Amino acid sequence: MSSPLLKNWKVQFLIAMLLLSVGIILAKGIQLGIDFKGGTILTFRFDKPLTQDQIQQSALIVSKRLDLTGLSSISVKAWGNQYLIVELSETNPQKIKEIENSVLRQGKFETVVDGNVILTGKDIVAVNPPVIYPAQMGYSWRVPFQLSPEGVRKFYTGVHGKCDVTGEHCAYTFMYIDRPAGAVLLMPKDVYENEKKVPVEPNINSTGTRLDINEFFVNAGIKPIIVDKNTKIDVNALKGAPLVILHPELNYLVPLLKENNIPYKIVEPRKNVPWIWTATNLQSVVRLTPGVTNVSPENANPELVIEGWAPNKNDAERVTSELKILLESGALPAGLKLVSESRVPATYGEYLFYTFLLALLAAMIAVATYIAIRYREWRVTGPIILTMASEIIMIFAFAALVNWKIDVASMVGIVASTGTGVDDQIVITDELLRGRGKGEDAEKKAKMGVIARVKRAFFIIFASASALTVAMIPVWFSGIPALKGFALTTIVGVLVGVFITRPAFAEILRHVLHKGA
Amino acid sequence: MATGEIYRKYHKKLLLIPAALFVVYVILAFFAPGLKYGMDFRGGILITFNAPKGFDAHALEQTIRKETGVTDVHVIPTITFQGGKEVPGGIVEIVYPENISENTTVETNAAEPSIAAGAKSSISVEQYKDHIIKIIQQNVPGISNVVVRTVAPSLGKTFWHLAANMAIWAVILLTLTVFIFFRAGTPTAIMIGSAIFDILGMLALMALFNIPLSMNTIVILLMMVGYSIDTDILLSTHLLKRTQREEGDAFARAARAASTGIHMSGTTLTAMIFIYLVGYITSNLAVMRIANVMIFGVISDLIVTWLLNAPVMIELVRKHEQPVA
Repeated sequence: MSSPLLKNWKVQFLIAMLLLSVGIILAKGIQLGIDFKGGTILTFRFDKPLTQDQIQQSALIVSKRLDLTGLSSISVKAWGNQYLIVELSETNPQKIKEIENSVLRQGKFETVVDGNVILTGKDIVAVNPPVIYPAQMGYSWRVPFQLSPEGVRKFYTGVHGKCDVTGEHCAYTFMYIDRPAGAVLLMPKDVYENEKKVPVEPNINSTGTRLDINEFFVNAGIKPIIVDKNTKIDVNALKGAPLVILHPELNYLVPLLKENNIPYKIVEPRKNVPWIWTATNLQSVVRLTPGVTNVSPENANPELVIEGWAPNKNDAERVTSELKILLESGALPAGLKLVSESRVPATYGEYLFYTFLLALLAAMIAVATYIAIRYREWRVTGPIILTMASEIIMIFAFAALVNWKIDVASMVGIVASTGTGVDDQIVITDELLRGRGKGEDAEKKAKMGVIARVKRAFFIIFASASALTVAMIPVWFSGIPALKGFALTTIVGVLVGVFITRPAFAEILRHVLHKGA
Repeated sequence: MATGEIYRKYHKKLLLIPAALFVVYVILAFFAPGLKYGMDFRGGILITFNAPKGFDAHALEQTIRKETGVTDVHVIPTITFQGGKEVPGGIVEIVYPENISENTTVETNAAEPSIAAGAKSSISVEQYKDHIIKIIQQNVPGISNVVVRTVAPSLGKTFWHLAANMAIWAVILLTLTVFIFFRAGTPTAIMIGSAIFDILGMLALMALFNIPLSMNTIVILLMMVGYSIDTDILLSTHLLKRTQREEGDAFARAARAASTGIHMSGTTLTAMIFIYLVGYITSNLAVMRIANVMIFGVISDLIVTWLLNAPVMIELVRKHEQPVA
């Protein structure tokens, strides 16, 4: 490159932007997305649309829950008014399952006495470390928590007088996480017969106190239907229910429910746990004592406990830590479902990234070879490669600048915009080569026409660049996470091409072909 | 024969090719075999894995069909080059049957731990993925690097809604843009017409090669519309904005535009073939399909621009130029 070319402001601008881009990339580094870094993306959908406040609040609750599980590099983002997108660096299927489970719980805590809710998760201000100790045939556990002054007032007012004078007959408090209030419970007759008297700890073999199953129905707020082979199910009775809970033995009713579009959930029984406990999400049943029911709220102890039993220490630890996390993070405004999962192992992601870089290089060489063969003019090939390389560097720099994480879609966008960008360079080259006629007269004509020709080429370039950009704008605004990268790199690539690299390319080529005409 | 000569002699007859193709396209895209919706819009599972010891793709496909009862199952064997070594692998793609809902459970013949062997059980859409992975693990020895992507049917519906909106907006904006640049109805109409022809061509080829409509392919369709306008604009500038005295008659100018345009498509094709190869050696189905659809787009665009647009525009321009010639 000789000095008159370097004095051209378009070329100077390109060089300045290139230096700036390299600087940005060196300073900030290129951030890779899950596709190339490895990790998991989980998309959750709420049962109903939420307000912006609610969904932002939900994102906070979910990130708090995930923080409490002790995982690092997690991001939780709201998408639209009904979705949460969770990004994790974890790819172990077991760990992912745990995370899913912790997010999927709505986490609505309720304490119920005689069918009335006397305490909710909102009344809890702190959760103390759980205590686990050996007990009959397994382990007992306790999760102590602190109530707010309002919570204290609600609880002690709610339990007031729930023991008789002698203290022999006292009511029980039932504590739930995500109580299926309003649901219809379809219970097989044999299961019902087995569980008519339900132990107050989740152990079917418990030798302790047992209560009538009706108490469990009332406190859970559900409508039970006991089903045996001869029972005729009245579909109309089920139609208004927000949810029908089924025992797997009643699987044969599923087609009927599907047919009538009734939402249902099959709850598998857990080993040694009464099914009614599992089906209603019951956590703990605690007998009240006169010492609690007769205290006036002013003098009451703000600490309560959730008590429970587990067959082994591992289960006890898992249950208590889950409870602690749910109580501490609070409840989500609606139920959630997992609707999408993407999992990429780290080693594979890295391999993918380097293969893409290699391909970019290979594609550039291929295009350059094509052009070299077409024009049989080595001086054209050099500037074309230079232009493509500058565009790629500048797109990466822009991504680094705005902290955009490069994923597969972004990479394809880069290839697409630079690949189609070569077209513009061909238009420019053809226009300029055409101007280079033979003989003195032609040379004179050519000199006059060069600027007009470049202008003409740029009309085509601007029109097609605008078309490509406007086609990509709705893609960006669609908000579909997997497509945003594509739209971004394509638009940036087109803009960089139109405003920075191609004007400079035209100058360089003009200089090369017409010796500065 | 030079392109100019071809146009001079046959420009009206050339129109028969796109006319016949139009009929073929419509049949391919909408009737036989007809375009399919992919997992993005219907919900489904995509699993990619390394199988160092190799496996029988056909047998795995049959097993998954048998054990899950889902018919839309494709198993594609792949070869990847990882750490300088050839590693066999596979892609399993499952698209849920139509009208499946999240509350729906999927019937399976396989025994789940809690249920007696042989019993027919039902598992939810969410559990379905684990079930498929288990089947793969049982049938393919030593699988590793398992990449999983799942989309639930409800998310698929949301995606379809967003994608349809996106496409409508893109078409409106594109029409406006072209009109602003040319400020004339005829070239705008021709360009939009050829964009539609282009899309139809891509859809037909997608149906023919069994590439389902997905989010990626919709974006590529839009992108190719933007791209195809490149060559249309090239053609119309050559024909409308240049004078006969300067650059020769309409045939010569169209031929000149074609010589540039065909090479533009050539470079794009070259780049796309490389993208396809990358998709292939990384067993990335999405990338392979993106490249495929772009290649289809370039081919459709070549047909529509040089066999349909060019003859039509030559005819339009010639009427004005005849007195001078």
